[in-house]
Amino acid sequence: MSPLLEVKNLSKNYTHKAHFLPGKQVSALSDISFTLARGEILAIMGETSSGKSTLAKIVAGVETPSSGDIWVNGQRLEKHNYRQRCQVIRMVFQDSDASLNRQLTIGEQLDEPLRFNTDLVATERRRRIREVLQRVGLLAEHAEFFPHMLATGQKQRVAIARAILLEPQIVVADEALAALDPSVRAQIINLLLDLQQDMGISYIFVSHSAEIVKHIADKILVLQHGKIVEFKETAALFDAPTDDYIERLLVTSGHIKQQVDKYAKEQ
Amino acid sequence: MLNTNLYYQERNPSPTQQLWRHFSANLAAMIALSFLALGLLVMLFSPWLAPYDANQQFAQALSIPPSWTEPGDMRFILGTDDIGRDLLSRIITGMRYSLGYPLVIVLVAAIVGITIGAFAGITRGLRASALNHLLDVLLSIPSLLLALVVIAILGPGLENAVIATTLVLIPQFVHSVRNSFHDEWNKDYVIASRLNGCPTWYLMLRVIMPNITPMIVMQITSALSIAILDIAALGFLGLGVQAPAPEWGTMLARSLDQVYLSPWSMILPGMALFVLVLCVNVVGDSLRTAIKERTEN
Amino acid sequence: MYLLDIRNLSIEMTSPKGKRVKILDKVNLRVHAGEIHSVVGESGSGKSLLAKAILGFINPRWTVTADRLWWNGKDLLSLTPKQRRQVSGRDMAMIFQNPNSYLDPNSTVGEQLAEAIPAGDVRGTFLRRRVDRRTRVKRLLHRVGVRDHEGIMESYPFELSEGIAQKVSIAMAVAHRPKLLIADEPTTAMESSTRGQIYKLLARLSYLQDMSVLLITQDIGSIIPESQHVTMLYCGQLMESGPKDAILNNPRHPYTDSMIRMSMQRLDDLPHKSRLPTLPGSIPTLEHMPIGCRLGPRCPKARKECVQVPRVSKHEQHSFHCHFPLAEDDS
Repeated sequence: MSPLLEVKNLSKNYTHKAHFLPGKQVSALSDISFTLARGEILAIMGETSSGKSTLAKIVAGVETPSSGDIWVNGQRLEKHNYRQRCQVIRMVFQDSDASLNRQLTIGEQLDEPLRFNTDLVATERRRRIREVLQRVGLLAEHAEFFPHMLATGQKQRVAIARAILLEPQIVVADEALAALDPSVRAQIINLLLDLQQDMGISYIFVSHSAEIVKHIADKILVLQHGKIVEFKETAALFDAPTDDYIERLLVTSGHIKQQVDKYAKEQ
Repeated sequence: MLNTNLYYQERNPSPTQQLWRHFSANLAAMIALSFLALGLLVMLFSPWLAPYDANQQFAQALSIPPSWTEPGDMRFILGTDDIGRDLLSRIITGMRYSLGYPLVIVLVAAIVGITIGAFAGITRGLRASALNHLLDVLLSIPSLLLALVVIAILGPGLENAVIATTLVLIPQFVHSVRNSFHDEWNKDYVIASRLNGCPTWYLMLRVIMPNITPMIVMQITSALSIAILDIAALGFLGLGVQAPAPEWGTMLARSLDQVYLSPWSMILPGMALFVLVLCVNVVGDSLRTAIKERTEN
Repeated sequence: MYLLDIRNLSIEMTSPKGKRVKILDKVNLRVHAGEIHSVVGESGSGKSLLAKAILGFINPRWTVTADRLWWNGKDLLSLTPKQRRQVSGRDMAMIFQNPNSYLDPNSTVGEQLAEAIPAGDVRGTFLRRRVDRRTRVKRLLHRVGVRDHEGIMESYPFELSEGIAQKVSIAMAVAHRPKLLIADEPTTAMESSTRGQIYKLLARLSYLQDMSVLLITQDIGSIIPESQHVTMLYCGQLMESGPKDAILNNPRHPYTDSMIRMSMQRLDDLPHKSRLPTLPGSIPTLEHMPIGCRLGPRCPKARKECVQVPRVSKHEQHSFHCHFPLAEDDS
């Protein structure tokens, strides 16, 4: 079976422009190739400015690659063709607050993808929005809300609702978990895992939190200076990190766990 | 959690409503706003409100001081000028020139400027930077001076003054709208909408526009005060509205030589101009404060 | 005597709807000299506000009331704003989540550190002072564990990795030897290995300079391992406070208990991709603060008594505010 997502030889160069002089090329990503199977969770890890965020943005379509292709289901994704892309790949942003339009109600914002990508009439769209809002653990009435009336966790749920409205096969989440409050984070992780079971979505997570990655990811892609240094199953990588850089990324701090475990043993 | 719609609606003000709440909590802003509304009404109904025709001369009532002074006359509440024209009628009728024309000017300038600015905001590269540098040059010249240059080319007169002021105001709108479009374009919520597959017109009109509307309203108020002052200044210099039209700036210029004999004929139009510009500026300033308060909360 | 002694600190503000809301509701905090105290709270818990109240940077339109806000035995509330600033400036320092946002991008690290050194410390004649200042900057960098002082002093903030940048900001904060360092989520956006380094540094500085550290964090899993005391806040109310071991091993408040179970470090114990334990519901917004115990609507043990604010229960140093505390462990 062919993989769901296939990224081939992806590179991204930025041009640092000095006035009138030809710019200097800076490579953010070079020669990235990987595949993602249906229902898999891929975590992208790497130190700051290793290009992990850029990679997620290119896959999601926010930025265009300098060279290389992305194939989904054997179909090549065209640059700037957002309608084609949003049927298969959607994105959840890091800052749910900034990714929602303050001036539109939740319902109006969720209507956008349906309005421009489906043939549904207004009443059907409204029904679909209500369904999806309930699916992500909100109330149908939240469609009338403006974003500023919602708590952070609820905003993140709206962002997820927006991502799954069109029933995509891949959802890209750029650091969407680590900055959340613990209780909200656990809720959102549960929600994402539930959605995966029900809808068979594949996720691409960008994360710096080794704990979360270890818990949810099937495979890990490690980047350094815009190049892939490792692409492996999670368990295998955690058991035997192949070099220092990877080991450093995968450190999980465990003093609470140690303390609680120790205490449990003493009992 | 409660589940009735009623409960939510009451507690869910839109950002614009929030802005209005902050704005209306400010007493000075509300006073200024009601003055402006009053001025607008007076302007619209000036033919019926003015007691006399603006240019009607009363030969037996030359230079009568306002009615509250000893030699005043109740027929002429604000007195008359040196050729016996009723000042109240002239000020009321003059509103059409001093408030009406600036309003039209700002409206036209805003529509043209916002359209150009919006398109400039989403283009990149040579065209955008060429426009930007051209605008910077235009903006570095004081608006009145620029209007004078235009008038020097077109010749004095009401129409030319209006055209000149409109042309002068457009770059300001283009500049600020272009900058805010540019800033908003790369924000997460616009990117999210773009990934939703929204066409560009939708992004511009429904996604970005509501978010920069307060900024545009603020720009309009500052443009309005500039337009009022410029029209008055051009009238004062004799380059804009021509006598005997009762434009406030022209009235000021005409009464200049009578300032010792009948100071009221100069002070009253001056006061009217002052109050009008003050109100416009207070409204604009309070709007700025309200926006700031809203973002802080 | 406590270095910092806060009793029943409340901060009240007017919400956008015109309602009076207590964003901090009778919070107690006691910090000994030289101890590391962690304040744990989710967003909206008022943990950053607590720090600002200690430093005296509270929006003047908010009302601050406290039975006691003592610093070193001095009542901070009775001081004039100017005296208050002097005390904060001399004895306290603060570091934030993102060091690059408050390091000056236009001057080198060396220049900024040199500025941070109090003028009184620098000795010698005019020419000697420059050299002395430079050696002090070097020593400061060594003290925060930066070995390559030459390279770092010449670089601009954006050239530093986030770990180094945070170390530099700590160096700036401790340059005038404060008695209290408030660290507001200094490691939230960092990988665990970098976090570990920063925490080791803070613990060592606290030990060597007899400096108290007030660490503010949102996850009980990311407190400094060496911290002696932990205080749990939720929506401006104090949930539980006490020695770290007591809090971790025998939490009495349901909130602390679920926070410990939700902590990312406990993920290891769960099967891969299994559902995580969590608290239901979401953190209430300012407009919809519940009455009584604010955890009420989300608390697994809530009953009707919880509409009253619970009284404090105390067990030695360990205090908690709950009507139905978890059972005490005898061991």
